[in-house]
Amino acid sequence: MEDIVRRYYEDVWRFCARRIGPEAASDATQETFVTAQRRISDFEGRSELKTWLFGIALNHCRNLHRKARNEGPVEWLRTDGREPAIDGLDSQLIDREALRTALANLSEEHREVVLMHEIDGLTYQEAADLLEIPVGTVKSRLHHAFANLRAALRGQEEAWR
Amino acid sequence: MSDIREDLKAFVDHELPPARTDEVAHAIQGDPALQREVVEIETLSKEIRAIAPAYRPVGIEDTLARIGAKPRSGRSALPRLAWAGLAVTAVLTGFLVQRGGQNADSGASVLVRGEEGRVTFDKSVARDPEFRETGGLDEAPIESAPMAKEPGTDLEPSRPKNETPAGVMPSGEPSVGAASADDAKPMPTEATPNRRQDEKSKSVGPPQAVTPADAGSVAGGQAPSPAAAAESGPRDQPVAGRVVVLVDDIDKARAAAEALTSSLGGRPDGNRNRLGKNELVVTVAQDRVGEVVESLRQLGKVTQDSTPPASDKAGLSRPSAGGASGTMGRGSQGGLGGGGGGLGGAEGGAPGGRVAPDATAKAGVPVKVTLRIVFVQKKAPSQNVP
Repeated sequence: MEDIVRRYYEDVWRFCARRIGPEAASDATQETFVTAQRRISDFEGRSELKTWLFGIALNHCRNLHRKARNEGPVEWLRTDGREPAIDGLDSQLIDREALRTALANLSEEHREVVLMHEIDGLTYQEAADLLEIPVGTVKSRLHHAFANLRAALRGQEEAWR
Repeated sequence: MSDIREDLKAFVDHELPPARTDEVAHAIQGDPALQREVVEIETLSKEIRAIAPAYRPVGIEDTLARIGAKPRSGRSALPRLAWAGLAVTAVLTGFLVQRGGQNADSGASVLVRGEEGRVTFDKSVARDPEFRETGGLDEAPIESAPMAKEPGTDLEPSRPKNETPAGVMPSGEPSVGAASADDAKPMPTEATPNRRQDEKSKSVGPPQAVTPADAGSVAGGQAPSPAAAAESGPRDQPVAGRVVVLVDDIDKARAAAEALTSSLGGRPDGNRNRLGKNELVVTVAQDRVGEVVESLRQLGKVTQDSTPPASDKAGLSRPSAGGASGTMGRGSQGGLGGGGGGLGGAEGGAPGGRVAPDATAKAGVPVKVTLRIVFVQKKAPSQNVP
């Protein structure tokens, strides 16, 4: 188990931090590995170990999020009025603050698949396993999430004009 | 076409089956609007990854502890070991300082000062019979140092230090303290090699208390005047330590010491009338004390170094509650200010006027400390009497 912790701690911690913030991430991560230690015999190898750990972590994050009575997206998606960071040519096409706002305004279902695929780096199948939904649903949610984001950013752009 | 649009995201993500991928690719090739959408989706993907915060995970040790794993002895455990070692060194240093001039005849431990002034713990030296005899001092303390047991074994000053005659134990050498203040006794210690010094690992015993041997009657040397002995460093600085150096030429050594102190950004106090010509008080940044001491080793043989340990020299210690009042000093028995002629006696008014070296530390201001350097004239061991 120690090897598993050492190998996946950072991935699990970041996974948690993106959902409930860095302050609570350590607790959630610790609970994740304690649960994994207790239930390691349940792991059948049908998915990647990391995905299995993410599944446990997701449950702990949801519990903590609920206990904390937090509403809405995690802190890093909340707009804070900062100037958008513009790093390169592509970045100049999208206002990052507007993007945060658009992400925060997504439904939780859509936001979750976006986070899992785009930031956590999970495949559609892994996200489907984690969320216990069909892979087609993941694909559909991502399509709609991106469509909403693009629409939101276009609307923002048009609002500025 | 709408079917194609629904699959664009999956196409960009390479999540479509090969056949469907070909269909979508074909459709995109002939439709600039789809091409634009693909670019938008790719850009959006990239931007979403870019705005994700780059967190630095913490707390793995807590988790390992929770699951019952032992902390790894590698990277994460190393700093703790280093701190533990530092703490042990500090405790030992404090213990030895407290013991002062007492003979560490138990030989349980010794602090070895290396070439760079670092202090380390060397058990092997503690096991050395020589150390057991001398307590790790370059010269055995007065009370325990016998006169030379084997007459005629003294070496000439010019003899290389590593040519220790067989059978000559340094413990049998007369000590500096054993010589009288009237310069009647020779200084065989100077002519006697010190094996540990030869090994680039010069042992320095616990900072010695000021005894008549070094406070006013340093063997064979020109003793400081009583007035000078009663005087302390500049009034605005606590005396951080004292270094006794055996030199061939006091004037030259003193001038050199003044120069080197200046070169290290220090300020020599050249009031010879007050201090006596064989003494020099310098004010120097605390973190350069080690360099000063090392430089003094180039001028002669350092027989006593009661400057703060390496950590203090580096300015790591915090201001003490005793402040400049000198209450941090040792008791009158062997303290720097203790007894008649104690050098620090006038400094703080309290017995053992030694003051925490950074007692005057202020936030953001480099701590300066005062060192007292005593030069002692070397003497040829021409009259060694068993």
